[in-house]
This record gives sequence, structure tokens and C-alpha cells, in this order.
Amino acid sequence: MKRIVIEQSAIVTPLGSLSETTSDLIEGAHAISTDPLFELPVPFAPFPDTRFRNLTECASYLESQIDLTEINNDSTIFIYCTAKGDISAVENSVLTPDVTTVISPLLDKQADMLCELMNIQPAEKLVISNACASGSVGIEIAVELLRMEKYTHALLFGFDCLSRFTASGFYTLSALSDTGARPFDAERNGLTMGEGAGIALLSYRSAYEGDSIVRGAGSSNDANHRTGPSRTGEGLFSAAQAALRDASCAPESIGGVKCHGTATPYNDAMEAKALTLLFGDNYPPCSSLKGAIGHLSGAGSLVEVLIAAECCKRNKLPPTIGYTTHGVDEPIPVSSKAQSLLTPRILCLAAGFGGLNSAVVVEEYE
Amino acid sequence: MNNMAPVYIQSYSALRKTGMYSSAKGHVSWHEDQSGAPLDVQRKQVYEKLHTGFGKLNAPDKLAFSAAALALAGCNEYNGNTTGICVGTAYGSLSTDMRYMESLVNGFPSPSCFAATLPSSPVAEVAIQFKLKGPNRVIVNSVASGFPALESAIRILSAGKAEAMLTIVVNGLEPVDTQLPFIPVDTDNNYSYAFLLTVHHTETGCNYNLSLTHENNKQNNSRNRSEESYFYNMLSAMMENGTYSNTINLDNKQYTISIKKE
Repeated sequence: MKRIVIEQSAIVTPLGSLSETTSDLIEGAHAISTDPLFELPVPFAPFPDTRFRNLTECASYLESQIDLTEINNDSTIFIYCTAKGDISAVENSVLTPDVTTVISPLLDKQADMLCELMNIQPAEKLVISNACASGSVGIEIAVELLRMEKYTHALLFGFDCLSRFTASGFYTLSALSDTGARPFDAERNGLTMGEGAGIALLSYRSAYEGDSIVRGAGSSNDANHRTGPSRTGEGLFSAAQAALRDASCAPESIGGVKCHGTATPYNDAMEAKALTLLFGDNYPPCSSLKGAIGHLSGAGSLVEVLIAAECCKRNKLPPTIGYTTHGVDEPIPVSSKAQSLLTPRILCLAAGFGGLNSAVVVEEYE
Repeated sequence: MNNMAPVYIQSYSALRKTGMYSSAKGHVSWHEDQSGAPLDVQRKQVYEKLHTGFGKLNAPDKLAFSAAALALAGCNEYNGNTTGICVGTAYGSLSTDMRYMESLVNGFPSPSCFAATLPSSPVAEVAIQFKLKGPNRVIVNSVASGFPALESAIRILSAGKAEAMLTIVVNGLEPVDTQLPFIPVDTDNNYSYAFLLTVHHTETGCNYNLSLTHENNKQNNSRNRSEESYFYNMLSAMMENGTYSNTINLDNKQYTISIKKE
């Protein structure tokens, strides 16, 4: 039976490459820096090298980590998954309007530039901007198109530039923690922003033992609030249900949950309710990565799905950095230390501004 | 490639420089004093219920909401719980991005402005107002975003992920931003279109059978022409005789579209 296979992938996060990040996360490391975020009195998780803040530098690095020479351009779709792209281009347009920016503020132009940089000429380019769920919605679209056999490969690229623009915006919304994100903890008081990007090449073929596969994906809307999550968790529950249906999986077959887990009071309360609606009292272990690497915005849901796929291979769910005292009403089993997955299959959740929810099921094929 | 399920347009609408159009109301010209149409659209022109925040919406949100309100006004056979939204938006929230950045430079960054600095902002506005809880897709492919959004909606319906999909094609730029050096010269025409698609016939809907496919053609990179003219021709043909068919070359693709009333 054919499956959606993650043929190749690479990420760069505050903890480094995919292998480094996954190892560090499982060992309980974090990369939250106390350096101020653009002069704001809040911590953040910076790239290991500031050159990655530049879209072209970041893309060059990621492209160098995978091999695209064998892909057939005529049967490949390129999907750029981003909430705001390289928003520094807009900043420059306001700050220095007379200077032509190297990187266009237009997302389709950024997609063109990325393809040129990676020396690919895909049959179709698509820019998906579903807020902080952009990456996982991009995966869902790739799954649809590959299953239809419209294309043989889908190349996904997730990037969002952490800039003065986004940092100040979240700060004005009082969404940022002044001490560091503590997902699901009683003392949580906001999110911590992070820097990261990822690339993944997906195909649709017969899977072999050990392959990382995307089993299914689904999405929904809260229809509730522009910036806040629903209070009931029904929207995220609906997205998770859709993903499980798409994956032909029962809730009890899930080996662990990679939560959205931003560490804002409302998000985590909502997410715990959604997990209870989905699993009843039969929860698998749950973890959030954002206490360790921060919130990577629209790129985050792609990067975190790729980390989850790697965690399936290692049969480990990382601890939730910052979680010490249970702080949501539902008794969800938040991992405070690394633990084995019940099965090598992880449900990945994402929720964005505007009530945009998304869920992806990844697993190691057995 | 697998065949797609039949899809039907149940209602539709548009706001453009020549007026408002909808399957329920036909064509309505702008008031003579509405020089800034369609950006100056008033809430009572498109929506009978109260919407206290309407006047504060940014350009794409206002246009998207208005098109959605006009399209849904004539249709009461959709279930919000199983209805999703696909948006194709040329420049997303670019004008709001510029205003927010200016407010930041001036030392008073606006949280309400920031909350609308997302290309997905129109989805939030429409989903909240009309309680549409199905899947969402936001495609930002410059002047060739609407057809990919329609295709995405058809795929979602064919996959059984929703019973209905509201597809919105919107371009909302404030006049000052049309002069930005990276904006093509033909984009001073703000517009929005909305189409409610279903996989089943309905008793009160239009029941136009919609077929839309594309072949990729890298030699045909005609991205400089706005897709708005194609959508206007499509809507005009639907209103006049209930059928439309065309082959459209846009953005490295050749779209084949066929609409027929059943």
C-alpha cells in the first residue's frame, strides 16, 4: 500500500540540525537566551548562527543538507509555508523606501527566489499562509496532491523571519513571557519566540520498514476569535479528528502527542480540553517543544512535525521544558522527562491566529 | 490522476469597481458618491445584521467579508460546522503590514493593527461572523491566487473533508500602496469574489456544475495579468446565460474551466 513518505528533510532550530535538535530535546536541553528580543525585556530562542535570519542564507544551508539533484521538476510541486515570510523586507520598505530591497516583500516572489536558489524549476509553486499552522496545512495539501498522483514529489519549505515587526506585535498583544515559555505549567505566562526553518521532500510510494511517513492530516476553524483560541477546544479537537480519520487511525493507536503548547494561559487550557475530547481519560504522553526552542511561527508546525518524525524513529517523546507544576484543568500527562512512545506514531497539533487549527499524524513505518 | 467528485456552485458574489454582483441580488451599481468603491462599501449594502467592527476592518478583510455576506445571503442550505473557507489573495495583508510598521516606527505599535497583519486575516473575519468551522486554506500567489484556491476547495470537497467550501478571491490594497515599487502597475483595482461550493445539489441553490483543472506549462508565465478579469468574465457569463467555459493561461498554468447550470 502506498504511503506519504518523508524522503528527505532538514531543519535548523536554535538547537541546530534535525539530529542535534532531536537529541538535545530528548536530553532536556533548551536554547532560550536571556538576551533581549529586539530591545524588548523578554527572552527568545535564537538561531545558532545569526546568518540564518537571512532567507537566502537559511535556504542555502537547508538545501545543502538534502539532495535535490534527482527530483523530476516536471512532477514536483514546491510549497512555501509561511505566516509572514521574510517580513524584514516590509520593514526595509518603510525604513528605507528609496532603497530597492534584495528580497521582495511579496511571498510569491520569495518562493520564486527560493526555487532559483535551490536550482529547481518545479511544475507548480504554491504559497500557503495559514498563520502559525502554515507548515502543517502545507503538509495536508501535499498529502492531497500526492495521493491524487498529480505530482510524484512535494518539496515543502517553512520559514518565518523573527524580526522587530513580529516581536513587537506579540509584545503589544501581551503574549510574550518575561521569563520563558512554560507550557502547561501553573506559572505559565506567555510564549517565547524562536527562530527556525525546515525543508522536506515528500513522495507517495510503497513504504518500507523504517520509513518516516505522514499518515494523515486535517484542519478546522474555531470560528471564535481573531487572536485567541476557543475556550472549548472543539476546533482543535475537530482538526485532530479529521487527521485521524484521514490517517485511518483510532485515538488509542496514537503513541504520543506533540502539542502546540505555546504556554499562553488560554492556548494550553484549550488544548488540554481538545485532548480530553479526543482521548477521554486514555491519554497518550503529551509534550510541547516550545519551552526549549520557542515558537517558530508559521514555519514551526513544519519543523515540529519533522522533529516528531525523528522522535518516532528514536521511539522517544521529549520532555516539556518549563513544565513543573500541572497548570491545566484536565489531567493530561505532560511529559516532564523523556519517555518511550506507546507506539512510534505521533499526533502533531498546531493552532494559529484566526482559529486556524491543523493536525498531522506521523509515524515510523513498521 | 484520480477523478474529482462533481462540485456545484450554489451561490456567488463579487465587489469590483463597476458595482456589486450576487446570485441573490443581481447587479447593484455603486452610489454616485462612492468614489472609492469597492473599498468604501458600507455594511448595510452587503449585510442586514449588525457588525459593529465593520468600519475598522482592513481592506482585504472588508472586501472578503462583504463578498461572503453577499454570497451567503441567498443560501440557507449550508451547515457551518462542515463548511470551510479557501482564500486566494494577491497581496495578503500588505497594506496593514505597512501601516503597522509605520506605527512601530512612530513609537506606538498598534495591537489591533498587528492582529490583522496576516494573509489569513480574511478567513478569521468570515469564519467568526458566519460560524464556518471547516478546513481553511490561504493561498498567496500574487495575481494568480484565486484559481488555486478554487482548486484547493474542490480537492477538499472531493476528499470528503467538508460538505461545502466558501472560496474567496480578494485583493485589498490601500491606494497609497499601489505605488510601491514591487507592486505591478495593474493592481489598483481592489476586488473580491465569493463562491459557495458543494458536492450535492441543493433545493434553493444555483446548482452550477463546476469543472476546473490545470496543466502546468512553464513556457507560459503570464503572471503580469490580473486574474480579476477572468473572474469577472466568468461571473458575467454565469449571470447572463448560466454557462461558461474557457481556457486560461496564467502563472505557468493552463486552466480549463467549465460551468454549466443543471
